[in-house]
Amino acid sequence: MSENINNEALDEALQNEVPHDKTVRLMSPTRMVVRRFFRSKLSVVGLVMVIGLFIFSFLGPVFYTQWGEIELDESGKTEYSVSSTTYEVNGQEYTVRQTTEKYLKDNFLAPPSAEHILGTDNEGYDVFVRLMYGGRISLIVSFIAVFLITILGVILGGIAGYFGGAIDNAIMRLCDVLICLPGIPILLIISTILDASGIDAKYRIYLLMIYLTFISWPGTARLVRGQILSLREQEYMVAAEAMGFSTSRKIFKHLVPNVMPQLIVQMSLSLGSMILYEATLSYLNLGVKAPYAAWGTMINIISTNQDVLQNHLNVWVPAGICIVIAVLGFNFIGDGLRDALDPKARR
Amino acid sequence: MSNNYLSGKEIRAIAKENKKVMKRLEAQKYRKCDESEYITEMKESSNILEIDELHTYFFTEQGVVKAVNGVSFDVPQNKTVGVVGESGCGKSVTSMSVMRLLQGPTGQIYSGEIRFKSKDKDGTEKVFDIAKMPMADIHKIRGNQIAMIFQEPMTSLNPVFTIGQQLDEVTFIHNPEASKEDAKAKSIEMLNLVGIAMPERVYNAFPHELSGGMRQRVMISMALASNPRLIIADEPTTALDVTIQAQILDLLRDLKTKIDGSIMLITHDLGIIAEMADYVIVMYAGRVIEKGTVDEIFHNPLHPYTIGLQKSKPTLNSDSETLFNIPGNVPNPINMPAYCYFKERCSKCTKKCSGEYPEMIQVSPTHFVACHLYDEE
Amino acid sequence: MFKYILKRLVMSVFILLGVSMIIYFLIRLMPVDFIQDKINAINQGGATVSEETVNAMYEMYGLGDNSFLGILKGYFSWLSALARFDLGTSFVYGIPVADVIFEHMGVSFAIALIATIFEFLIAIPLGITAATHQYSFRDYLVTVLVMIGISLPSFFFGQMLKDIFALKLGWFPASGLVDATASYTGLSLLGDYIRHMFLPILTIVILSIGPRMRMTRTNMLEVMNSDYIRTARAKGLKESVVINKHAFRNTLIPLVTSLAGLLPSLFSGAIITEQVFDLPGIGNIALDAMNRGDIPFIMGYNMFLALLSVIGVLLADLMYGIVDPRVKLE
Repeated sequence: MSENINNEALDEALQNEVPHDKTVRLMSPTRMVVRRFFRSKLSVVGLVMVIGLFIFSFLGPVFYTQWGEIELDESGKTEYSVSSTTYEVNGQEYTVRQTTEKYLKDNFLAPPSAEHILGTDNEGYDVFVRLMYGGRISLIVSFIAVFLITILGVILGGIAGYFGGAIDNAIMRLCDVLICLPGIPILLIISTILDASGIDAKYRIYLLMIYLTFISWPGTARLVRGQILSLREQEYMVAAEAMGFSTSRKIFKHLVPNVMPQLIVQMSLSLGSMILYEATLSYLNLGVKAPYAAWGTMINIISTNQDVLQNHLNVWVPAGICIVIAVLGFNFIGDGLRDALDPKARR
Repeated sequence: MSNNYLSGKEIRAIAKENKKVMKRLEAQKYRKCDESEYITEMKESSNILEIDELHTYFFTEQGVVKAVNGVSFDVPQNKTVGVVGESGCGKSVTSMSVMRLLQGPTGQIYSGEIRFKSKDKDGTEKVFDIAKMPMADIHKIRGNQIAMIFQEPMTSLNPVFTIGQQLDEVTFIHNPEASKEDAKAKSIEMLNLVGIAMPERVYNAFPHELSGGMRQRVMISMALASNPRLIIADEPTTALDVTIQAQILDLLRDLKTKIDGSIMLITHDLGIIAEMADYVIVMYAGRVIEKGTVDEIFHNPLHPYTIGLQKSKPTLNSDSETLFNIPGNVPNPINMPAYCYFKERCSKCTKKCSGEYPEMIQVSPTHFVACHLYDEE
Repeated sequence: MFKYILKRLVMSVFILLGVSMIIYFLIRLMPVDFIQDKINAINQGGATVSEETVNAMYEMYGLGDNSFLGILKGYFSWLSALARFDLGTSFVYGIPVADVIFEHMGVSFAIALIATIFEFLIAIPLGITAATHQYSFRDYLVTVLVMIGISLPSFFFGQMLKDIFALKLGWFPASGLVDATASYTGLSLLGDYIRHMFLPILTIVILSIGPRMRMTRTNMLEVMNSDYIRTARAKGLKESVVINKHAFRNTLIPLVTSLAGLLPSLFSGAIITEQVFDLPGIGNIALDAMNRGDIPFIMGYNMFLALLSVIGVLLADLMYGIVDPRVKLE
């Protein structure tokens, strides 16, 4: 009798997540996470910002087809300038008028109007439309990079943690080396190499992002490895081993729920930093190069053109705001997720 | 199992209600008010602490957890009162309520009185209702008149300050004019009092350089440094080895006579209670189910839970091979049933037990029990 | 302790070797005629790169010999030069790269140091307020403000400050480190430096307060939930003492640790901010060198940065053991 009871108690203790009393109802874990996420107004704001930017960048050009990404507005107006000179010859005044007519092919640096919602830039491209195309590039590139970083990090971190020993040592030392590599300065070199090899301007940003992936995976790898190591230390793992169960199955069964929350948080935060990285590269004229649009490229002009910096805010400020919205959005989401997924969170 | 989960609508309703109550209670905690608002009278003048119908709730997302649900007991002067019960029965929360150390805004004293007879430096006695004191005035009592010893000596000392710094601090709180030398002398004296062999050395040590037993001694000396009238010891020996346990308990018993104060001893170990306490309070699921003198509880336990608790205590000279085990579990603290909380685990349960929660019944001048078995017909 | 430091030092050398290998590999990826093109461009631009300098570089990097042995030989010749702090001669400046680096390091270091001091002075109190008033309006306000700071691209924010405060309002100079039209001495020179450095420092401070404030907040929250804080409260200490004495000291541990790791990076220069405000710092010089094809400089600069970050990691680990009395280094 008492043995029975002991077993039952043990069973119940093992699944203490589930209410043992049929009359008691708890919150399901998923609902708890969702609720915690949405309770924070900041994460909702972040979600709205990111979704808004996605709609703007990906659906915008589908509906707003007035201008293309590299379509010049060639409706440049004709400029007249009149100058007159007055001569006095023998007490008689003569006025000579000289009219010059200058035909501007491109309608550049136009102020915002119905025709160009945010005006045109110094080349005559529509700023509003280029914002959308720039958003596409920034978002796609960052997503690809984060996706690759996560895959690489999970695989290498998993191998290191699972096999341990020399393999672990080798991978971790590689991580140490990669973490000590300077970021932008090396990208400067790689950009030069790309220049030398004559890669199409359209693809160089992807190659640069691949390099970024290559130096950014150690963070994820360390996370995954740490999780596996701490799982190995757990008492129930030792118990499982003592009883002859395979540890590897247990590890993978427990690894996914343990490491997933942290991975998701890290992914959303690194999305923000990748967008910043991409924008910085484009600003330095290393990433997406003209005539193609990227948010950073759109701001690049002001580093050489004081007139645009001072008098044509409509050309560069919107792109900056877009970058801030995107990065802030991902940061808010990441933060909200971290709070929602943290089992230690009190409220 | 999914039908056992709360729906979104219910969750929102809980959150809304919680927010309202927590806001009101937090505002009350931080209000400014005159002393007269929380001065009361003792029911029995020989008591130092009277807890009366205390309700301490935790407002969680899943609902209100009534961790302490109507607890009443007294701590007489110069006596040791043992509070016993299994983990999660609300004994620690009761002590935290007395110290007003509950983690806000989730944990709140919902209602009830905690009357404490305080004594000023000049000797005048005043009775405060701790439950109604605003946090700004709590230093009149906390640390000063009531000191607390915690369960985890390993983590209860600040790792970046030396023992001396942490001990001196207590002297300075209660006597800001004290000189550094005075404070040190007092601290060394306290360390001596708790039986630390090399007080000078310990005085200059960091907590991580001491063993668990030493740290608990330091914690006790810290509690004593302010000459408290009441010491609350929350499982003071649980985290220690058995031999060290005995030493610490001896020390506590010794000290009680030396400092002329009362001790409220919280533990799940009946053996410690039998050795140390004058009165015993048995708690179950946030309620007191039986209270009496140590004799009455040990020799004449009435509540089936108390009886079970004693049977489950391992003894050397018993013949049975297996340890007694009270079947079942404590009911979930959210949505407590209206009937006796022990009903599902009780072997002596009658028809009446499905009715109302049993009242406290007095069986002797000092012995009370909350069980329908002893209802007067 | 000594053994631990030795172990870490040996490890750092190996890390440095790994980093140098990657950097050397990158040099070898540059086609030789491309380097020649760059040299020609510099020659046309006014400065002349002497034949000697070019030959010395070819020799040092072992360029031109693409056999396996050649690459290996090249790597070791570069490495041995590196060990003698010989980073080659800059094409643009015509003097050793190490000299160029040391010459421009001062400006970058001054800016970074002042910025870091302000960062800590502002971020720590903000983090503590946010933590002690968790979930309050104050917490949200501070969090949102620093999050906006984290999310600002440095080039965008820097240019905005420059546009508003330098060009439109004229309160601060827009670029450079000294006023070229005036010749200040003594205190007024210092004042001129401060006026020039104000906007760059403001940019850096606003952008980097965020991580430090978040770190303070997280640590503080963790500390506030610990047992020893409960003990401090139970002693009867006032809440302000509990926070400012007991919690603060513990919160400081990871912050001081992070400071040690930060120290070497103070010398590395803020590329973007220096570019925006056209400061003669090392980051801006490196960017300029890259645009002009000064390959020896860029390589030297990268090795210099790698060295700084290796030292940073080492210092951070050692500091952790010194600050926290609980940590015993193996």
